[in-house]
Amino acid sequence: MKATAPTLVSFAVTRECNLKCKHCYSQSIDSPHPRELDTAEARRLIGQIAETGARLIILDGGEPLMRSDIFELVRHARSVGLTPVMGSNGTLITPEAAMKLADAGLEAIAISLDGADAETHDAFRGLQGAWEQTLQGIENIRQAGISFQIAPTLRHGCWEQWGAIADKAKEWGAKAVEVFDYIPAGRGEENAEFEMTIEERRVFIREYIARQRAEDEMIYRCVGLPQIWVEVEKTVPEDEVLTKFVRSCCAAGTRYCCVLYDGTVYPCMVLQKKAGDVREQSLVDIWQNSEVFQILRDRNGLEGKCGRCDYRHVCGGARCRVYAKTGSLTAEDDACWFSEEELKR
Amino acid sequence: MRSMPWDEDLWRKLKDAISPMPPFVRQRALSTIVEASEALAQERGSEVVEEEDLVKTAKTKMPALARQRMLDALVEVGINVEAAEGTEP
Repeated sequence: MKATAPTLVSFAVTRECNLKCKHCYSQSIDSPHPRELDTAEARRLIGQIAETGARLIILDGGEPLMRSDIFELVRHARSVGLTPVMGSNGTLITPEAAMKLADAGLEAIAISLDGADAETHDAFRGLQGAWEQTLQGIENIRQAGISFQIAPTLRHGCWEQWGAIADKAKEWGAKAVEVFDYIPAGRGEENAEFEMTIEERRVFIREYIARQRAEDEMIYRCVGLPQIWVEVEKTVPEDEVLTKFVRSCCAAGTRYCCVLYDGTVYPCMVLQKKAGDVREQSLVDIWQNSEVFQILRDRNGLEGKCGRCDYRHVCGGARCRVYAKTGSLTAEDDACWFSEEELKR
Repeated sequence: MRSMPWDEDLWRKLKDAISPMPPFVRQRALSTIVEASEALAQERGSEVVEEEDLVKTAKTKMPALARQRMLDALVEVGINVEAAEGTEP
């Protein structure tokens, strides 16, 4: 299938992180990867991301602020015509760092917040005091005038806190809340007990839709639960769908891909099937020709219930979860709760 | 928003295609597309907006900066953008 330009590409600039989160997709630890792309290589990659036709680059990690040249990379992204945004745990965003990010041209930042209170957040993030540091980082970002969104990870045992987190995000002035379902990928594989049940996901989706319907300003997005769009179409009046709801998943290999700190290219940070290596091939070549991406772009090649589903172009199943559990890119998503009858449009 | 009938499958595909856009961008894009596609359908004497009207709109009526994005989005939801006439971006 013909490759269209990606809308966004994420670049995990480093493996190094000051936290040790239980779900970390990039297996981040307290030191950089021995084969981490250096500044020249990172700049070259950013140029290639622009050449793919992407508009947006997400600089994340690891914790991107562990990298001393991060401000240069933000500035370089801007200079090649990309809109740079960042994913951060927020703990290292001092007033000075926030101002330097603003000066470098950072458009927006997503701050991970995995609990509505310090105890829950710190336990998951692996550092006592992380909550306080993150809140201070959010305040510093606000003071620097950079737009921000809050990004909680849903997990079994405390997913219900997401609503309280969203309330806080609104109070703090966040533009969006981007919710991540727990996917057993990277370090997340070792902590699979955090995966939500199907019933929990169904309840969450109903809450998510109700919140977005009640909200005129805040935008909600969700990663890892593409079935949301099926429920949205079935339950929300068309004019509200058109004016309020954003479909953000699954774009792996179709509108989005991810490059790791060592140059490995994945369809998504949570769909960790190698599609190429930017030290061996240009990202443009990988994006256009990788077999992994070709398979993901062909939604008519999906198997089982996903293949028969009339929503396969807008949902396609959580390819990340399917791959983590079966090793297949095309198998049906057995966590989909809709009946075959419900999946007819 | 629509002032005349659309092929319902086409309307659904258009909604799917624009669903990843931020709402404020999407509303502007949708109003441009609907108006222009309906005008093209009327020009050719059709009472229903069909795929050729939509694709021609994407190729000729969209601002240059948004044109390729729109065509890509239509391809993603299964619309054949090669089949209809229009100025290639």
